[in-house]
Amino acid sequence: MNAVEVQQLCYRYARKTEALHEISLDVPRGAIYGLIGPNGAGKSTLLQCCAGLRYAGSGSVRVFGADTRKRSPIVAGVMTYMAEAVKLPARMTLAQLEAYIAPLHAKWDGALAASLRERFALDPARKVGTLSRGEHMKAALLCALAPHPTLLLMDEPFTGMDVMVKDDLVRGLLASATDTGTTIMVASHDLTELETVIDHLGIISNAKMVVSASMESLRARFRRVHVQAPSEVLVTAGHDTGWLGIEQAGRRLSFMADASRTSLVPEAMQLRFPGAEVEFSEPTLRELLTTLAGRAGARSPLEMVP
Amino acid sequence: MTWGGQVRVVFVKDLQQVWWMLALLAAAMVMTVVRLTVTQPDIGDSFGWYDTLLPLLILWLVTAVVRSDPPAVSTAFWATQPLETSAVAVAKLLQTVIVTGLVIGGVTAILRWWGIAWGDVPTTATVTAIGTMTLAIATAVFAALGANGRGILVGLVLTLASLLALGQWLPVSPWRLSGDATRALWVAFLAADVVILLRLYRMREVSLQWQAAGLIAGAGTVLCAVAASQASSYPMTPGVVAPQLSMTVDPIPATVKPFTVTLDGLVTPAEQLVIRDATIRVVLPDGTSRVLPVLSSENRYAAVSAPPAVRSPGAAPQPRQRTLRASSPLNITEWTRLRVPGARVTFDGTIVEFAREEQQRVPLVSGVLPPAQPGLQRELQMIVGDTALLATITSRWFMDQRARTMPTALGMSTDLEFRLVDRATRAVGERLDAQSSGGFGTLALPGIRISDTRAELRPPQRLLGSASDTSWWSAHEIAIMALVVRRVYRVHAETVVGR
Repeated sequence: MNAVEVQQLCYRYARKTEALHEISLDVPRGAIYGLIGPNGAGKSTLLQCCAGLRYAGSGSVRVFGADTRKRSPIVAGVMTYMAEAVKLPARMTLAQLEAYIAPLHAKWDGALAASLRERFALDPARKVGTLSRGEHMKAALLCALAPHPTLLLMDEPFTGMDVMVKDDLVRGLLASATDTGTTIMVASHDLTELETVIDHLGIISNAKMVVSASMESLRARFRRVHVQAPSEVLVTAGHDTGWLGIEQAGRRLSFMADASRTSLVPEAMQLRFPGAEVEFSEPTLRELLTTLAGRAGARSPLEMVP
Repeated sequence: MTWGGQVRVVFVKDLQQVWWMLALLAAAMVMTVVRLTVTQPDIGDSFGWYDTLLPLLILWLVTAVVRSDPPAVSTAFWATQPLETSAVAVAKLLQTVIVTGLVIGGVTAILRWWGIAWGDVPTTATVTAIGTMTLAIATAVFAALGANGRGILVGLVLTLASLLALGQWLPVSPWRLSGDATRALWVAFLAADVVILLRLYRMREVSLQWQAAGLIAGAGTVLCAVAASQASSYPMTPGVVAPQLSMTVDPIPATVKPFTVTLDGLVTPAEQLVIRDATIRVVLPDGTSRVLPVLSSENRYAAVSAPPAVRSPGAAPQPRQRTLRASSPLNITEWTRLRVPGARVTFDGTIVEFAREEQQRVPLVSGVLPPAQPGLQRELQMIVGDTALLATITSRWFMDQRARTMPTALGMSTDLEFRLVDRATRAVGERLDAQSSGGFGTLALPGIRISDTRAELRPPQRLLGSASDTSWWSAHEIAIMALVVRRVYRVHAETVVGR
């Protein structure tokens, strides 16, 4: 059984604006699932649906097999959710905040909370309302991590954090959380930080799921091709319909394509680009995002993916 | 954690957050208690801006409590914690109980100071409790609407506008509910408020329909509370009395003419009669009809045209034939249209009969009078050296539900009558000329009404001069006579405009 199973999920704001359209994805237990996409693509809405904070118009969301409409996974105690725009009680001190929520969580780890507070350099006597944006996010993160959740949902957890803490968070906390079996689903724009830890990726664009797969399969599936050749060769060769994210500048052509395409075989490439230097590389997260999610004015990513 | 445990955790958290607001509310309540007991202000200073302090504090506090954990906001912190939605809503409602408890504590102290027996306190305190709960729960519903708390502003504006509209519309509306029906509607709106609040906490996105329902329920609760506080509850006499009904023609030409009906054939020993909640229905020969509300200067209560009874002091009133007139002002065009031959006129209303009873007999000595009834304090001040003015009597009293049946609650100024009593013979004698002034207010919050009156007593014409003599004073007493409700009954009468 997967930690999260989303089937044909549709969601409309105020029954009008379509925020999610037939989204399907699976997050295996113990995975660190990265959810990326342009602003307004529907990442936060999808996480909120998974957390049971929004009810799907159609389709289903199951967390550890249980329908989130019937029982909120947060209330069931299997999930914690750290929202980007969460408003912590401003008049409370951090110590009061911890004292307030600790009894609500069966597995609240006071020692972990203290250690996180120290690591994040948070003063327990300070009122939450006086914290900077970054400190506010750290406090929210502390509240999400200290209960030792089975499933942790994080929406833009790195917002406002300094580089040291980001690094610490990514390499230390997320890694150790995975070691203890916690499944993590994280939506972020911070691709550099995500790339080092996620093992599954979902790309969402214009309310639709472009791709949802393991990083391993994605890296095996796509190749970034860099061609160095005289301009006339590049012009003569033209562009293949299966090429994505084409960039051409002078003698250099770069594009991404399905690695299984026969046209990417070195011999075929040499035939198409006579005398050219051709290099293949695994696409980065940024390349996958910009290519698959598409830029403004690009064709629908779903149409572009072979 | 159990559901009850969750309620406790949220409730304690809120208490820790708003304790200083509760302390402010408690301080305001203590000030109210002191003001209405130890340092009683003069009439006219009793009720003013100060009375808005407690409601405003309650409004502020309840809004803060609800907005600290707002419903239907997916980024609200409570929503990311393992909390049942109903537990959060109930914890918020419990804060309204705390607020109500504070108010009841203060009210009880005031009532006890004013001599209300412990046994009578719960009745009055219950009215205050429901009034306070109404304000607090309606505020909670308003505060729960919208993602940014704009609901509280919209709700308050809507409520105030509705109150103004109700004040204009109700007096001329034929659709007046009885006191019991208004109170039943009030309770229904309160229940709806609670259901809507629970529902709002369950919802992830509040639709326009639910926002409208919240606004209507919240405003409706306050409106019903106000309407119920003005409605009277009488022990109704079963059955319907059907006196004769006739039409009178106003001989004075005017642009605004009263459409008047006269009720004949009421035989009663009552000394005052009041028509309440009455309507005149006119069905024209062509089948069209018009319902006219019966108006008076007090809006809700029809003018009394029955002359006061004249009887010997101390003698029991005798039944006598009464004639009551009820009218509705119309412009001349409408008046002419409705008064056509063959039009059928129906009158329906309630009649309250009052009889005068001796309430208290007091010597002509300046000082605080012994309480004639719980919650009533009177002070007599004899006037020295003024032959025209004998004394002044100031009264303040707290009216509970039962006291609403008193004529003063109906806006009647002839509530009290003062008669001279010969101390030697104990005989009740002449009536003193009394000029009364005063006003109504509420005891800090809706529920308990306070009445202040000041009566200037003048001796009868034949005693002018002698009544300023202190030896004459010691030979006399004053009997204070009050009107009390004797009977309340429905009246139905019909007639046809003559050809």
